[in-house]
Amino acid sequence: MKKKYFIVFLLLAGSLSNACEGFLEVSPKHAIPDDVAIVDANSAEQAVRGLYRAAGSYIQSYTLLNLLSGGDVTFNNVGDPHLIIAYNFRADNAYFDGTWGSAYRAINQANLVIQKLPLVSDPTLSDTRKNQLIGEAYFFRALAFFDLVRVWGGVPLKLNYTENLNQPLDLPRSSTQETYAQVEADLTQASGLLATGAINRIRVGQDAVQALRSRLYLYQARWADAEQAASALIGDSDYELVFPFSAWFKADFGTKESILEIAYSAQNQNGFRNNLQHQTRGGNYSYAPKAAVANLLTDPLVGGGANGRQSLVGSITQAGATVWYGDLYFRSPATDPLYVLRIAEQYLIRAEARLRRNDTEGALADINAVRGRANLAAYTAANFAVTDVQALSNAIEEERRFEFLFEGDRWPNLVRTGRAKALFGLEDHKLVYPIPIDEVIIGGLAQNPEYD
Amino acid sequence: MIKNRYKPFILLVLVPAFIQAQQTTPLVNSTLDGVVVDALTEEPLVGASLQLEGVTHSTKTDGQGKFRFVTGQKFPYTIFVSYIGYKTQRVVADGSPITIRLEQDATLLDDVVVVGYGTRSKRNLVGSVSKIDPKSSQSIPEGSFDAQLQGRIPGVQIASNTGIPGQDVFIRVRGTTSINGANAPLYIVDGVYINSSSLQHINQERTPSPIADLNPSDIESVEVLKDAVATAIYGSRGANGVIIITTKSGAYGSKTKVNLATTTGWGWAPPERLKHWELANGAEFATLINEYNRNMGQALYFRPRSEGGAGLPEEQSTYDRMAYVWQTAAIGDYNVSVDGGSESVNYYVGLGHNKQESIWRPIDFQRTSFKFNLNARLGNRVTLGSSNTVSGVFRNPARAANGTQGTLLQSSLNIPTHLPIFDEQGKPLIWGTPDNIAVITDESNVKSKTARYIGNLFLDVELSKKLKLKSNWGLDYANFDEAEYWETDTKTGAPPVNGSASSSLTRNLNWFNEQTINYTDRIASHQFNVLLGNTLQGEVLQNTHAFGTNFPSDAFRLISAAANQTANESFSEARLVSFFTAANYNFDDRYLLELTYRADASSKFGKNNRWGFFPSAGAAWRLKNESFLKDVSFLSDLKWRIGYGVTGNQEGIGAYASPGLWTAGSGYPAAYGSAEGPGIVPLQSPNPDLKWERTAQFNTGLDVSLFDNRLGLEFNWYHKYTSDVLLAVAVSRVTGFSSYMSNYGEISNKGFELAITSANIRTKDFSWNTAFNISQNRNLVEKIAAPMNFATRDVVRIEQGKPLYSFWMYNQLGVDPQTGDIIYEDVNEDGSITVADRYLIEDAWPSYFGGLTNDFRYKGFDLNVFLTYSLGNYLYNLNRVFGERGGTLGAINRSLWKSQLDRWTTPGQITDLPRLTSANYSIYQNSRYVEDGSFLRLRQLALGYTLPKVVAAKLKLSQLRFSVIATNLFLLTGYTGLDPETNMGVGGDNSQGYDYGTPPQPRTFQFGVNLSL
Repeated sequence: MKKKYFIVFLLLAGSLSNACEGFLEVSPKHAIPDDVAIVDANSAEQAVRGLYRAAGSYIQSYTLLNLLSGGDVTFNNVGDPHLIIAYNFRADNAYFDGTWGSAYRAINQANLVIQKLPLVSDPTLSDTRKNQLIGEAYFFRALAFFDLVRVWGGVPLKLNYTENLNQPLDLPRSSTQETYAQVEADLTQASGLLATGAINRIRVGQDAVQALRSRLYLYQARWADAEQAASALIGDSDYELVFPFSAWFKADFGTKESILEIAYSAQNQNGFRNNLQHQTRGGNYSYAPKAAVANLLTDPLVGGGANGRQSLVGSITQAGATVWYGDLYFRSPATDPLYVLRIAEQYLIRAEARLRRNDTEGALADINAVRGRANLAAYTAANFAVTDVQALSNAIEEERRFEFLFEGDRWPNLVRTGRAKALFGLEDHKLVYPIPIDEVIIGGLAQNPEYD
Repeated sequence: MIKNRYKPFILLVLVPAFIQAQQTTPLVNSTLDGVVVDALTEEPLVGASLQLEGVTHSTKTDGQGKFRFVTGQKFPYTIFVSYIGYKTQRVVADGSPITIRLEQDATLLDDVVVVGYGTRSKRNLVGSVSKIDPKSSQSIPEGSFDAQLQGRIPGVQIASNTGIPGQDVFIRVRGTTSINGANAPLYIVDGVYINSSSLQHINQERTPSPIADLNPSDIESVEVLKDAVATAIYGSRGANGVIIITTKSGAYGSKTKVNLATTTGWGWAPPERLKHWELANGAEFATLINEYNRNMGQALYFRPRSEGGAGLPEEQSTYDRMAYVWQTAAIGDYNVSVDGGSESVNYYVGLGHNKQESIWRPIDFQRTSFKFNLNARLGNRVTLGSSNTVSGVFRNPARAANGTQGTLLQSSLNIPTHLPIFDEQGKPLIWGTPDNIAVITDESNVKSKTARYIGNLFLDVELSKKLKLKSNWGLDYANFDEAEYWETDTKTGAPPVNGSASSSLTRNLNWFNEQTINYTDRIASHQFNVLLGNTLQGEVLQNTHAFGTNFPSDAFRLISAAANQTANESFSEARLVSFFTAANYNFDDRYLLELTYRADASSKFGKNNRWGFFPSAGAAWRLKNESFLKDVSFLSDLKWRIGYGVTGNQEGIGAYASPGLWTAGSGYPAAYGSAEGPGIVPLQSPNPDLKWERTAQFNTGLDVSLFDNRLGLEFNWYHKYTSDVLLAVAVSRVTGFSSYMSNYGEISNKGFELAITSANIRTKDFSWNTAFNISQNRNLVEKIAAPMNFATRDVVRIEQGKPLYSFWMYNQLGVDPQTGDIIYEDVNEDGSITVADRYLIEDAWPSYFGGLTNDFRYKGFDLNVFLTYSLGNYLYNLNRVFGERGGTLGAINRSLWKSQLDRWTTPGQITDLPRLTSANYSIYQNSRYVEDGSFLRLRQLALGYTLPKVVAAKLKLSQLRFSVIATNLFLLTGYTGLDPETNMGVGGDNSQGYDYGTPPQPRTFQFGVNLSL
């Protein structure tokens, strides 16, 4: 009798320990092991789609950060953004860290594609397609490095993907020149790989590379190169300044205005909308145009009326008071595309390049093209002398301010021209952001001057 | 492979069948009737245990203290009679009937204490274990029993965090050992390992406590295992302490007993605390804002309407939004139980309903529970038993504070008082970010339902008197169902969103199967016991979450009606295999030795480190039994304990924390017009070396009993050292990652615990007992890779050489009396205030904490006075940060508090609050808001009257007791928030003492009736 119990018992315990190895094998259902990512045509395509999402996420974060320092928005919520608006740049402000981190996340994703995809051999993946995908990765890496360098100065050039984190990353900052050089090198790689042909405004093509090049040349003051690059796009019939102004974002997706936009869907919504839209329109209304800016836009001489740039803002009236909100992103669900590169910018790049190359007539023509599309009267000699370089330069600056009101252009632009100091009353060192404190402590990066 | 695993289970199921076949009719040789009474008062003792010596036969006394033994034994035989709070008595029965008189014992040395896989008498405990009878706290209106036990267990820090019933409880057994792993103890209900982490998905601001699914009234006793000697048998799950819950059961051969217990009453916000949230009225607010505008060189916001302003300050009205929030809360607890037993079967059935409204509308909590425990003897050798808990918990958690949408506090306290709630047409107005308070207190947007089953089935086989086998199978299943709908007049649901709904279903299954063999023997003065066992455990956690927007109208609430629908799903599974053994040895009741060893393998860890090994050893010396102390008469007992061991932690990290993974969901289209194709991105970087967090603990203690056991002292000193801390180590974000799960860092906890129990007065009519405990825990982060920040605005920071829960602040030295500008400490003396000047100022740990209970009894009256206290704990008062923002958040974005009126205005003025300018108020992390949260609280005052037995008997009742229970009648504290025991869950486990938007603990008053048939 006793034996019987005991045998049953031992059987139980014994069989359980036998089953151990298999018993402990559990596998996730929401994720795949990293060794089966980017191994064939399918996973390669998927990784590049993931790259678009990673890029979209950093571009949003980057744009919102630069809106704060751009001087034209207020922040309606509580928290660190107020310090940025007040130009109280602190290395421990989470908004710097967040943007920096999301840019490098996109860079890592690009590096994975750049390094792993060439090793894939899959008969269903043509060389053309493979090159296209790698080219897209090079483009986004260039864009991310470019965005980092123009607000932080030289940054670590992370060109290999992260295999594991067991060892500290020992990678110092490169110089500003080296970082720009890397951007150019990546763009050269990209254009050598990307397919030519059909226009697809939500995927990177040769024209996106060209548009970013022209922007790069502007920041490097390579005026001839900038003019040439911008002209190539302006002369391309696939792109035009759509009229009226509101038409490039209010109605259709992928208008001729766009050189590159990132698409969103009901599943993957554009979070930017939530930040701009008023609460009564289902947003959280964290970022709002300053009342002064909104009032300027309602002036037809600046805003060009309801179809002009005034359409970038909306208003509601609450208990007798008018409240302004940004209306660039407005759809519900938020399927608004994120605008990355537009033809209007190429006009203003060329205007500045021409101005610096003493082609003031040409510069004025480009400014007027952008103004005309916004229902604004062309500048004539009555406004200022065509030869007045400073006046023209200021005019370009002001066009950029309203043309790209919610696209985060103003801060990097004013930093580039050095005008931020005068306009916002800043000390020299504030023309670059502080390196996030954790990168200094953990990453061992050199801090920008005066932020220690 | 897996199929094979189940084969033996089938065999086991068959075992009872052939046992049944062997059963024979028991032989009756004697019948013993008797009654057990208190030696002093002669009052019968209900539920006293009687155990026949040498056999497993036992029973309990009924409602009149009576019992009956029908046995095969012949008179005379020996019975052991025990009752909680009384000395165990050995009685030789030589004929029926018999009256047994038990003497009270203040030190409870004869109590049977449940430890891992066994029991010990308290007298012979080697490990550090606290046993608590939860009865006296069961009327404290809290959702979970652990919150009720605050201040009663030495070494266990408990804070209910909030006045929201049934929400998360902060509980730490001897400090905090982990940063990213879990820190809550392991809860075991009748041998079933239960889940104690929240299953909530939608409403993330406060987390519900899964322990609140248990009805405290079904609990018989609670044991807390604290040191390694006690916990190491639970190996990888023991590092945070173990709480063993034993539920009520019937007794063999006892009469059916019906018990009804109800309490009902009200709760409200302590009025003297509310003054800390007093808002500036419309005129005061406008004056402050204008002053800010003036100082900043801006146009005055409150200038005449004719000039386009909002009117002059004196023209402003004041609107009271808080009135929408506060309410008198109805609370009630209703329980019916039946227990009893025959010679071979005993049972307990409990039915309970608990309803607690919060003092904030519309938050509430309701629990309906059903408990069924059954034990059956199948012949002389085999016992089959089952314990079952079924409960349903219904919550309206609302949204208390954090976040911007629909949160009660932001929609009331934080909105400037001059802003109207409705427009002229009566339409609710929305100002700034928050919702309209009238809307969100009127509509219930968030609801959750929990369905929970906890149960087991066990089989005890007694192969001989010395050798026992036990097989135990159990499971804990919970279904957490949440639904929310945001109507079109809320911010979230406003057009063009047109109603927004979310539905989330989370399922958690914990199952286990356990076998143990137990051998006990005694050779002369050598008593020993050896245990061998093995456990298999698994946990499956799943969530399905659907979202919808764009509803035809608010009449539709189901996502099927939404024009836009999306969904999410998650799944994880973890498994654990364990083998363990324990041996204890007792020489002559003088020298006691305990050894345990456990090996665990977990699926959570990397292949390289799957197995973990956890040993412990402890010894105790009962000095009282040595010849040199035998005759010291004032000393009733004296024992010295010492122990050391290692336990582990694997809770709190993900089921797949070790491998490198890519996740999907980042879809992107090929072109406009085409659907999104799937996309993948890296989720985590691999760490094949990931392993257990290990905590080594040394404990030594002294148990002293004096003056005929009237004064008891229990002292413990411990040192816990945790290494290989499970840590999401921050990495340079240049890597593309922000952290990875690793074993890095070391944390220590050192402390002492002292518990004193005393029977001050003990006469026939009057008694007075006191219990006091005080504990200290010193926490220190011994090693960490780099500082880590938590909570919004990085208010909480972990740094090497400092305790956890430290606040990272700029130190305000004062306000310049001449300029009114704020002065911060310039730590590095570089002339400017930068992040380098920020450092850790104070922490949330109390220096000392504990409780003091006084119990008085006079004839039928009893009075319980229970105080809890905490000294030297600090809080970050974020409510005040917002209330004293100096106008920086504008005229419509945030209210200002009355206390803001103390700002600097004139040269020479001495004040803490600087001149109203943006620069003076730009920093939230200001040491001014880190406040001392020391407190003394009258946790409970309960007065009861029990009808004399004779009177009750006339009413055909065995017992009738009336009571009035008041809680939180006073709170002594210098803290300027509503309640010093508060924490908002931002920053997860690593942020404590973060006061924001949390209702205070209510003051309550209840009537109770307890009736037994």
